[in-house]
Amino acid sequence: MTDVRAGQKPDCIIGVGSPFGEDQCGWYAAELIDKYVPGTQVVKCDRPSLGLVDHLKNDRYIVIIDALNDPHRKHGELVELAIDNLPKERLLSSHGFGVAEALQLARKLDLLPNDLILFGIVIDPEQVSISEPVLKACHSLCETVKQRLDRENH
Amino acid sequence: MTQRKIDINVPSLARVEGEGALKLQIRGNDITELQLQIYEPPRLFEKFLIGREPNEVVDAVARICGICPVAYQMSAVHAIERVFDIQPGPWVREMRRLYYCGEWIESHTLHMHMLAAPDFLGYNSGMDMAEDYPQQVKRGMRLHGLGNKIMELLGKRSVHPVGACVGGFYHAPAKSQAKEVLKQSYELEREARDLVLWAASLPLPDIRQDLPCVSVQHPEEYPMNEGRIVSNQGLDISIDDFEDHFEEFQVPYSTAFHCLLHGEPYIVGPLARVNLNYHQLPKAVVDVMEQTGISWPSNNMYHSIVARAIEIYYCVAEAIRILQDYTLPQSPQVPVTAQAGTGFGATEAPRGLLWHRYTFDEHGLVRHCRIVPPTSQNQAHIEKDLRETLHKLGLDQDQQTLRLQSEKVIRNYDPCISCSTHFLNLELDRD
Repeated sequence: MTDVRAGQKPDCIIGVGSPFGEDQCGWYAAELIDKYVPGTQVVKCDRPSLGLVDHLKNDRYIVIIDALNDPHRKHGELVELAIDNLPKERLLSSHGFGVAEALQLARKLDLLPNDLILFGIVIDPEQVSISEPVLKACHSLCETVKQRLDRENH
Repeated sequence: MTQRKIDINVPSLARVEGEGALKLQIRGNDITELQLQIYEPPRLFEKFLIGREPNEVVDAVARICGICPVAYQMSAVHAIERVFDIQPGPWVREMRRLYYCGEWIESHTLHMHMLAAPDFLGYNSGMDMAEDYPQQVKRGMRLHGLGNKIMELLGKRSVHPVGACVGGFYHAPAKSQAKEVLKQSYELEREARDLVLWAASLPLPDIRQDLPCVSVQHPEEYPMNEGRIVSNQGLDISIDDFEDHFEEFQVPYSTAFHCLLHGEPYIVGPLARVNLNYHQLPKAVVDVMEQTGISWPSNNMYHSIVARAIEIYYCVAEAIRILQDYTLPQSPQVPVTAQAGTGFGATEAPRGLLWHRYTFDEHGLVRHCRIVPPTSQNQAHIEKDLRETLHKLGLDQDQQTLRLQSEKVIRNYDPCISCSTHFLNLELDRD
């Protein structure tokens, strides 16, 4: 996994999710990071659709954390996603306007942050609450961020 | 001479909410088969609401749709309050109008910019359009953000909001929160006005047709939550009498019901509302309507996008009106005592008239309910429109042209297929 940006606090950490089951993990991870990186803006977005674009600005360093529903990956796996490898734009209804679509729209509007890191935590959509593997992934992400910042600031 | 045979199957309609398809069969100069096929699975709300308590109904119906939850909540609370003989008072009444303003702004901006405008500007998608029209799309997103903010003010969140209840709201927004939303509304008022002129400047086809329009109408205000049901063909009825005039029925190729008024198709939605109620719009909105060059009422279904823009501008102005006099109430809700009976609610969802009926027992539990969404009501006219439009276009056009034109016609109605498939008559045969 690529390290997060050395020595620099993110301007904003966006946890994307919903109140249901493990889809809350983006919020949980964002809250954890908030404890270790005081002063960073933490935003919890509830199924933001187009609204995610409101939080993106060119000159910001932004970290987005979201649940990832991928049956080909291991439950609880932490994945750094490249924006260029997100699903290609497809004809869709606005009900299906997710993070990938919001970021693609931001790109078209030249609103994509210069520095954007996107993390996905692989969830089990059947779980009614955050399970142990996903909790572990949230803490692992938080620890990585903390260690990297601590290392560069010494 | 060999007869021209065309079969067009669009297996998945793009830029509509939910899952639908179109089947079209042309033989020579006739459309021999035309089906707007809805195959989204029915979600059976009318059945699983049975046995529920009133506020469970309010929370549950918000989940019928991710784009228009407020509409479902408002039709439900008004129907339930009729059963329980509740008068929530002026603060709740105003807040419910504000709540609806948020949803109309949010839904209309999304549809205009992501679904409809690409059709008129020659793009396959809102994404492609955004690259060439970034300022217009950004303006749309700012307005969309305002709509969400208004919904969050009262509903606590914009997706499946949880703030509304029978008798009012669970909480009253703080004055500082109301002031912030008022400030944003002022900032975007001019942009909402400009949006109307932009929508009217789009290269909209000039196709006129007979448009039987139905909406709620109120004697003193642009309709949202209260009023009678009227049409431009002389209908003027109490909402209680809906079932005496409107008939729902199932067609074999759709999981969503069709609906007819006195046996004929009709339309609901922004164009119907504006056509029937533009005299209730404030002067500033009427002034910009006059600048569009469109003669209202309009019988051009392609003016629906302009009607949406008009309503967005109206809602920004209405939000300002309500919020500039905002005060905290003694209580955001009135006491509720359940009782047996049947009540009706008819409010104007972004896509049109949304009618609910609930029957409660002496324990305050639902015994029966019926929900008629706007998209169901539009389905019959969508099919009629398709027949007429394609005939006018010329059935000798190539398949691609016929298919694209068909999709544009359907998108004019902004169908919310997810809403229209919330029910199915269930016959259960047990041993």
